[in-house]
Amino acid sequence: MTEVDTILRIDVKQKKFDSKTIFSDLKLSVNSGEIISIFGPSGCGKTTLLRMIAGLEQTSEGDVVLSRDYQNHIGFIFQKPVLYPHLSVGKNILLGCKSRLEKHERLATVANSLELVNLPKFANRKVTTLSGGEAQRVVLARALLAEPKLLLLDEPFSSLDLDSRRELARDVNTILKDKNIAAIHVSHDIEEAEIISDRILYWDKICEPSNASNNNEHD
Amino acid sequence: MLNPSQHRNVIVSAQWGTIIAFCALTILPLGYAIFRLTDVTGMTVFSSMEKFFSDDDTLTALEFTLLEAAISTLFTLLIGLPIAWYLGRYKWRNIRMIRAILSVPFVTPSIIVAMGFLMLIDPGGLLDSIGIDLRLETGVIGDMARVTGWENPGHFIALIAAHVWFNLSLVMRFIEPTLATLDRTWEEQIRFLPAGRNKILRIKNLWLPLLAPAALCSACLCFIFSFSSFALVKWLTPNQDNLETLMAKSGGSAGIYNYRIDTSEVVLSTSMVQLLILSIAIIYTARVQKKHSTIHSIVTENSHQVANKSPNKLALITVIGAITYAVLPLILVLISSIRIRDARSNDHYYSFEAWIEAWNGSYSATAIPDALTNSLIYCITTLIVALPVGYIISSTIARLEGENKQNTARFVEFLSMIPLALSAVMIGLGILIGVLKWAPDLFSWAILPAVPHIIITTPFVVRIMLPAIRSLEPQYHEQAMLLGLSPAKAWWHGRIALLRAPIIVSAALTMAFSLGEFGASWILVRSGSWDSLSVLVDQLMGRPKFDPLIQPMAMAAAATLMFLTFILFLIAERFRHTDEGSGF
Repeated sequence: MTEVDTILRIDVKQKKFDSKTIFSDLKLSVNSGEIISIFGPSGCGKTTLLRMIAGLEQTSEGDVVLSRDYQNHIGFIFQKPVLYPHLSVGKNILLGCKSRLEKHERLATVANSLELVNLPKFANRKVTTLSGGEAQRVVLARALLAEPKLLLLDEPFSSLDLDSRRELARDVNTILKDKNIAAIHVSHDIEEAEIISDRILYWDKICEPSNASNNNEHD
Repeated sequence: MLNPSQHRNVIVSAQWGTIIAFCALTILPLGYAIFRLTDVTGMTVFSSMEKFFSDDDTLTALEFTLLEAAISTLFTLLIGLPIAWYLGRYKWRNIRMIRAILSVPFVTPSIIVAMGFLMLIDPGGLLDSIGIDLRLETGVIGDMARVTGWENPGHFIALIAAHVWFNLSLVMRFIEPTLATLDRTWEEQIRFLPAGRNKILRIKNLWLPLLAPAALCSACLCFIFSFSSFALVKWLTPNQDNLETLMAKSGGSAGIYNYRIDTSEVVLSTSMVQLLILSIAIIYTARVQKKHSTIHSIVTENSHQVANKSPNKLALITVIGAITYAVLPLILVLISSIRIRDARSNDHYYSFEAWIEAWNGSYSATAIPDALTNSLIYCITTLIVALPVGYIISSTIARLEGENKQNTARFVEFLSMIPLALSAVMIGLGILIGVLKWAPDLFSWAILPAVPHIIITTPFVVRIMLPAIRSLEPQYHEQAMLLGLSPAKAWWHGRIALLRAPIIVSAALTMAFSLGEFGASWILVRSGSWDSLSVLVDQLMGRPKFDPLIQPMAMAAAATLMFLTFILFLIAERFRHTDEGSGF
């Protein structure tokens, strides 16, 4: 990284699945503490981009360069909340805890995390009893407990009703700003993007979308 | 510390290593056996098959095998289809319990089924008391034999009834879930279309396309299981041999140079013909099963909550009849273990004497606790090996499918199913002739009888685990990795914990199948001192019945095995998804 502020620089010449090109010539950079939203239609490749940043996918050609300090400090919130059904809400949250804690510390950590996302007293609940919004808040609490320096949000509120979506977007913005966490949020809801982010990038402005990429698998 | 790419390479290498080891374990003993038999007989595999079709004994055995398998399959479908229909189309209280009771036969060890049906057809038994004497073939059955010239019709009918009993749950497990989840609007809609104007058109255009693959799939499996049936043929039709019993009887003296070469020829030629027929049947079953899975998933994906009607009288009678049929032989085993013939008066009285004698190992028989200990050692060894091997094979298939290497995935799946094409007797003979006569020291290896159990049960683990692993969402594992969990913890939370139910189901069924395994154990254990419970039952029943306690002692051993199997089955049922339509 040449500039002190830039934590992520992406220059992907091409991303293919099998022989199909999903997108090409994607250029993007993110600064420290900045929250950006990438706005684009369903199936254009936004999720693939986030997965490449997280290291879950490889580029077909080009580079994703993440500042050394930020490597291994990435949080990811998937479109569908991923909570482990064999664990309670509290134990799911503790999966984000990096250090070994005594029992009283664990209880306090879970309580604080849940407080942060406005779900006090949910520690012992089964994850199967949570609503979509509650589940996504628990996922957010867990991601924040892992102390990420860069949080990737893949349409995290898409399954919620409009009011919950707006409310959660506002809460996320407040928490991320409070903790100075950089974030990349992808969405096809422009209003949600405006609430959550400092800067909105339009998909067709940052890359060359492929005509063949309109496929939900590569969203 | 390994980087992700090295970590992946290690996992992939371990997966292929396991698959190669499993194939070697399955194929090598059989390969050695074939090599030795060709060497002893001086025949090639092809000339042995020629010999098979020119020998009266082997041809008679083949005719009998095909006939009993085909008729068993036909009757299983005829009886199973209405039961599956009524179960799937009506609202039943305690449906889980009804399903569990009707599924009990499939996991019941074949030796217990044989004992249950022997008690059912016993002179003075339940059927005899209503004038149907299938054992000694007097009365109506004797008349039938005289008029038609059919030899031993009673024994044949008993065998078919036992095969139907054993396989009935297969028909229900394949067909009932599709019927129960079918969206009723599909039926309603077709009534308004020209293609559904009348019942025949609706059967042709709706029911047959939806249910035929499931029916065909269960029919194929019924055929395979009846074709390779051993304990039931051995005990219920003692005057006739199918290919399995023929091989087993000849197996003891096969593979020895310059001694009873005829038995080596029989084993070689019969095993080759059986392998050929079972392989074709299994390949066809796999094709039909794929079709059925596609249709079943379409039906379940489009399913809405179905409001079924309460059962009518006919449905009630059918289901109650099926439940009675499912439990009757098992109750008879239990009763026969405490019903003892008075040596002087030939009357019967009830007592636990036989249980006490069987547990003490009287009459020079292995004591039940000793046989039980052996059985448990074999079944735990089987579990320790078959479960991880089955998991690793299933994970490999799912990974290959995920990487779009469909042909390789299909090939690995086929390799894992090979043991199903090798009957238990063939596997036992493979180890006996192939390995033990090549390395006789292995005879003293205490867990040797667990080897065929591992080979036989691993395909079942794969069949249970594979659909569950295929439906695992990778995001659970990815999320765990992104949260910074160690690879072991990520594997535990992202995979194993989510597979708890199929792991418990396959563990319980693996143990149940191992406990009840009879064919291979009979071949390997009968001359050793490692009697399992199933072999003990056979040994006791094979003795002369002058002493009135011998038969009840055999039934006490059978009842002990039955209780253990039921406990394992109840554990499996508790965790099994009832709507999966996979047959297991």
